Amino acid sequence: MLIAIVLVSCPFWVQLFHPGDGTDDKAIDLLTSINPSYQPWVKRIGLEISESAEPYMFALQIAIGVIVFTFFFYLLKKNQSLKKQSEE
Amino acid sequence: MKKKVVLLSVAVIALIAPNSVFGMHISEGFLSPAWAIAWYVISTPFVVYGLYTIKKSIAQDPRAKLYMGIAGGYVFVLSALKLPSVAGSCSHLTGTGLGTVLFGPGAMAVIGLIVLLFQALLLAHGGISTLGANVFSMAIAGPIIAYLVYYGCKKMKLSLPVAIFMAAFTGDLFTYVVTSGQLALAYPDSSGGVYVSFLKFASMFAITQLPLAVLEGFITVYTYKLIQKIEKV
Repeated sequence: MLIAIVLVSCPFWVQLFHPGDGTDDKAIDLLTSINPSYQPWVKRIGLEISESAEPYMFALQIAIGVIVFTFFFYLLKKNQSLKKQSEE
Repeated sequence: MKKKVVLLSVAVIALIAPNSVFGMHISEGFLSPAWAIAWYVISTPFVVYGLYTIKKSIAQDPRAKLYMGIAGGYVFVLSALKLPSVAGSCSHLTGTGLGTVLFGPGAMAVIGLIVLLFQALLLAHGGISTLGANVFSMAIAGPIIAYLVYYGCKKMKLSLPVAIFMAAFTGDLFTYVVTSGQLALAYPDSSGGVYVSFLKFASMFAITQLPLAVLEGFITVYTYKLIQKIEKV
């Protein structure tokens, strides 16, 4: 329940703090100031996704994580119940 | 339980959907070929050892598979959660603390590799050329420090929640320290060298990550208690 409360309140934090750049973007800025001639030496390998689609892909990762977590959590619960029943 | 999961999913989507997602991994092409290969070479033995420890844990207790699934799902969720921080920038958690406390740092190298590979190939986050470096910071160095802190806290006879909190907190924070070190080694400052470059990167990451590391500590303690509750059923 605590996790749920924390996560439900997150959109309000977003409004509150107006998040700017991500730390990796800031790292690029810093790196460019240290080494102005910096250029990535390799093109991205893997799926090219638009910036607008990016959050939804991360939502997909979260959804996969929630499903995996819940599935194994359920199996563990079931396993413990069976173990208790057999002990009794 | 069902209600909690639905609430959790809605909250997560509400949180990230309106915003672009940013994070902390070193992006594709950020490290020179020499550094990219070096981090692959350094990380590989840890991943091989991780596979060995997973196999051994499952052979000893088949229920270890269930705990690993829980730890894997946990990393998947937490490492994709973009959260705003006090510095006006945003980052995400690592989620490696829970698995470290449950199995030790070995297995986390493998679980972290799977998550980072997924993000590099499908989410354009991190990269294949920087995978070795990102695996080392998030899935090897962070969990090792987290485990040492957890072990130290237990030796000092601190309570279990405090030990778990400290492990997850330091593991999260240390991931960024290592990322700063990796970037500083690859891009030393022209006047101050690696040390000055490290301070620049570390101070930038630390401001953003410190409150998020505290949050990761609390979430990990809560999740661990949830698992403990089931074990007592």
